[in-house]
Amino acid sequence: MKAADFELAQRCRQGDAAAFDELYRSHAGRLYNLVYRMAGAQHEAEDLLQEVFLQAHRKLGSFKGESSLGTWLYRLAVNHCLDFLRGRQARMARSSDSLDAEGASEPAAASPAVPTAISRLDLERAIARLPDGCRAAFILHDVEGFEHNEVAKLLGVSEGTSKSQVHKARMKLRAMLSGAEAASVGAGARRPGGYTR
Amino acid sequence: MTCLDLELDIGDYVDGTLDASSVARVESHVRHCRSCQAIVHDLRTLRGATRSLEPQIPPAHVWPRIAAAIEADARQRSIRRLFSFGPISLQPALSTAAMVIVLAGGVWVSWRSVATGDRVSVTTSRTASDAVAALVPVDEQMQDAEQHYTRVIASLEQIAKTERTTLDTPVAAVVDQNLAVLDQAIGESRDALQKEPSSELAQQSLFEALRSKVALLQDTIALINEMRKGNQEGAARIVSDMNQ
Repeated sequence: MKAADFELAQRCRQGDAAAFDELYRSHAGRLYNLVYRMAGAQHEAEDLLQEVFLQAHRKLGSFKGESSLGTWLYRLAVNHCLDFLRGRQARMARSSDSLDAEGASEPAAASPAVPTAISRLDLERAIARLPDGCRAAFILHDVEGFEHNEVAKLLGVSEGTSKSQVHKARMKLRAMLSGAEAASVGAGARRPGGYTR
Repeated sequence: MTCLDLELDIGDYVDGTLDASSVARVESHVRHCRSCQAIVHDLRTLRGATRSLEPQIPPAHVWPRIAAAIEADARQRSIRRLFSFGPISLQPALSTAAMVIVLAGGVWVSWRSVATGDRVSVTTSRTASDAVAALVPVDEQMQDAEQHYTRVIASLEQIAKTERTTLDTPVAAVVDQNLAVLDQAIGESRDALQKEPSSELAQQSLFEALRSKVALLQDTIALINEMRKGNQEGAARIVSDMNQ
């Protein structure tokens, strides 16, 4: 652990506002990137970021310095996102089909279906429409760049589950970004996480 | 070998993480399968697009909100610690006395040090919102903040006065005692500021006293609600809302 991390955590624990400001400036960007795409909507991302830093404020006393402060915060954020997604899934399960049913892979198109130039906006919207379960694995692997074994640890699943979730997400994105569905992605008609087959 | 058999391997193939023998197996299948060729093409396109996504930046209004929430949270936690010694109606006199000392102590140190001219620094810890407030010029901050506190205190006093019959007599007495201590601290801090308007210590002391009075009134109202509903979490949330 870096001595600077330990010192910063110590100052935060002592109620030093400038230290917490420094903590925020150093790590908010990376954490917001994660929570924004996990939540799929800006207002929820802002709430999540606030909750993550509140949790950090409460739990800094348990920071033992076994990892860097950035890693510690990132894990806190991942766990918080997963709790958020589980809660949302539970709420939505009551009013819709399972968002993440096994075997829910998309029908394979016989020819390339995704336009070579995908607009970033369309892709962001499509990611936001992914089912919550596979979105988490997809974001951690494809967007955040973790290996499957790392994703598996973060999500508390097997490496095989991580692979299948990422694959499922990719195939759903493929279907959403193909010509037939691209228009509806662009319209953004459904709320994040509300995609059903 | 079917497309389904290769489903997950295709993902690893596109990622470039497949071992050599598996690569040969996938390529052998893909060469003859138009459907899998299309998947490989699309997943590669998707992968490239995903990697070029721009980072999302937290909006500027998020940090002040978080800073305020942290300050409110710190206060709620201190309230919970303060009132965590059992049913209020059964509080022993010693606990009551302890409340007076804990609530009044920090402020007492502040205003006494101003009144006596000691160079003792204010011991109350800074909070996150201080960092935000520090961006405003001191004079302007002083006037605005004092007016703000005065307005808030008047509103809270009105509510607390209307609802105080809900409080047990010993608790009401504790609140009154603390308010008296805080009023005294506010008065002495203002006197010190009149004598020495540029004294940072006196300014700090005044705001600590004003802030403590707001907090005490908020806590009192939250406590009234808590006693009515028997819901500590709900009371804590109300304190947070009022603070924001």
